[in-house]
Amino acid sequence: MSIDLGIVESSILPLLKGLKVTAQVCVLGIPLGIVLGTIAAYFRASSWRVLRTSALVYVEIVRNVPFLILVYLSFFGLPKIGVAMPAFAIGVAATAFYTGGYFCEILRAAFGSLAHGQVQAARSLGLTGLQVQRHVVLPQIFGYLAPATTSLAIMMFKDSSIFSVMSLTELTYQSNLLTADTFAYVEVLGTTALIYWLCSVLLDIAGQWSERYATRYRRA
Amino acid sequence: MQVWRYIVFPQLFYRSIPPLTNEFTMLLKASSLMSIIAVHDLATVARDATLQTNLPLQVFSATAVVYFAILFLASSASRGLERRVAKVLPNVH
Repeated sequence: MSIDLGIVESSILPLLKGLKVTAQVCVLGIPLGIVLGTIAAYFRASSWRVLRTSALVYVEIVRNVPFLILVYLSFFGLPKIGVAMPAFAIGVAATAFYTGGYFCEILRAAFGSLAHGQVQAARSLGLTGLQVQRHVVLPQIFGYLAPATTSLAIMMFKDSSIFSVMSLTELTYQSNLLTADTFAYVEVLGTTALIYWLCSVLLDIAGQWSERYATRYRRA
Repeated sequence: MQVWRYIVFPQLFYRSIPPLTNEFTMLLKASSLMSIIAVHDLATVARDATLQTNLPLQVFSATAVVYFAILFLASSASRGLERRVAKVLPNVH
């Protein structure tokens, strides 16, 4: 069989239109999830049992329930209890919810990677709690966070393809429309895969760059 | 061979329990995506049931609980296995 380059060419523009929506969902959802995950991580370290348990339940739900089921539940289930949101908003919210659960675990591991004596040593040198975070804890865990967060961002970027099931006009949805039109599965899906791959590689490079930047103190 | 049997393998086994469990969890979650190509799995059954009953909230919540139960049991079992291996082979970690 041969590959029809004409179809590849004509499908690029609609696919890029889809990529724009995918990017919007990720650019809004992932940072929101990082904020959510940070809050959850502080909850998990809290001395209040209610906060600790609720953060634990949250993380376990994210880890043990498939993203697809979560998307179905919010897209088909929420309108039944009177919460009707557009697909885009559900996409952002679901991305944030999922990112948050995983980021909470990443953050916990990052804090765990820090030698316990460091915080105490910094405190005994007379630094305030905030100063300890700012000058001792954060600079060191950024080097640990950067690669893990990059993998998470790439995972969520790829998982955003699931939003095609709720007719959000993102990359995979556009790709499905094109294959329904042309039946050129290899050409359209191949191009789609290439776009996903290229964006993931770019994200990975950005992640490596930020890791090098975050760990520059180790080489100084 | 003895080195492999008594030194390498026990440590290898012990250390691969958590990442293997993680991999299993990810794989089972990803398996729900088979429903998109009409493999008759749990997610497909859930979607069909929603169409028949028009009770998406209940059906998908139940589905989520089923996935959660399987995976939560699996990770608890894996932690149990890890503890037990550590007890039987005190030098693995």
